[in-house]
Amino acid sequence: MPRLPLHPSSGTGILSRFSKTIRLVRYGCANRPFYHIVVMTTKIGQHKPPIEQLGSYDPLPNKYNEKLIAFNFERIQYWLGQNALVSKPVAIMLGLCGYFPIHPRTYMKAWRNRRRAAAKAETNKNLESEAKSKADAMFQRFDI
Amino acid sequence: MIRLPVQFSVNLLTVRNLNAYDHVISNGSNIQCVRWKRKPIWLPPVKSKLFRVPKRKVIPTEESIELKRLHNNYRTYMKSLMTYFIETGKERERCFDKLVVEKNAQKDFEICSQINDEWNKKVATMREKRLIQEREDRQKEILEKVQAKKERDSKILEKIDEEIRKAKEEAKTFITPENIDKAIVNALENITEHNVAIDLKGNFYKTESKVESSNKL
Repeated sequence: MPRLPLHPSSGTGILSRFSKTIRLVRYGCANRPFYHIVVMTTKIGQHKPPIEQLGSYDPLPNKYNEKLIAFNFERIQYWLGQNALVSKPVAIMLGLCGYFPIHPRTYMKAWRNRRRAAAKAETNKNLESEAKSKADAMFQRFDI
Repeated sequence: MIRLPVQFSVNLLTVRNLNAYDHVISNGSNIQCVRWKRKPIWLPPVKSKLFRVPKRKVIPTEESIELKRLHNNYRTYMKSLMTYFIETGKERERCFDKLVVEKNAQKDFEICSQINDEWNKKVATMREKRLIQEREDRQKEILEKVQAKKERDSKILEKIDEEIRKAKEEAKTFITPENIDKAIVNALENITEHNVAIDLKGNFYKTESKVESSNKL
């Protein structure tokens, strides 16, 4: 079903008295995620009209292997001053931007990746050594 | 439940998979939808997954301790940051209060007007000086002009005087009604011949014969 937002994605500017959150909204299509960073009332659905758009995020790396993200820091500061909450992915992203302290999840991801890479390297080494020993054994067997 | 005769039509297939026709049991043997695979949220767990207990993820203790420490730090940082943002927000609101804005505008205007007054004074003194200078210059210029006019007038008068003198000197030789007869006689006696020929080199040729003839006549 096509989703037809009948509101401007840049935001309606209509405020409510409920608490607000800075969060991501998926404006992509199948197999092509694209996110808007918006301020919205916390409890309404993601494709409901946002109060204001504060940026965008393209999670697919482009041809330079970059994931592009845009923030309107002035407005973000304003909304944080208005007691707006920040969702976790946005907080992580802001941490990577240097606007917030770096989120613990980022550290966790980093060390897990490092550990995985190390493990992979080790297995590769083992495999190579095994292959070598096998080859040696073959050579010995046939007295080459 | 309503049992319908089996219809192998695309329409029913798609609609059924949208769960609009959930209550319809179709006995179609090989009906399988590929497009919408998800179980809608209002349906109960599938029979095959009814008694499945998902595995809990095990986080090693070292990691969990480290994560806890990081999270605690993060939370304290964030708390202070948020209070800072809220404070700045409040400060900004206070700055943009109507009364404060008006007051600031008034202050700004006063400062500006003071600067303007100073400037005006400076410019006024400069202008006075300039005007005095200009007046003096003008007077000098006028005086010079008057002097020049006087000299010019005197020169013209002298010229006229000379001309008059010349005219008076020449007046003696004028022909008047008293001496006109004399002048006529004189003219008739001394005839001057003005008919003269000239060649390319500028030599004059007087023909005496013609003069003679004219004289005879």
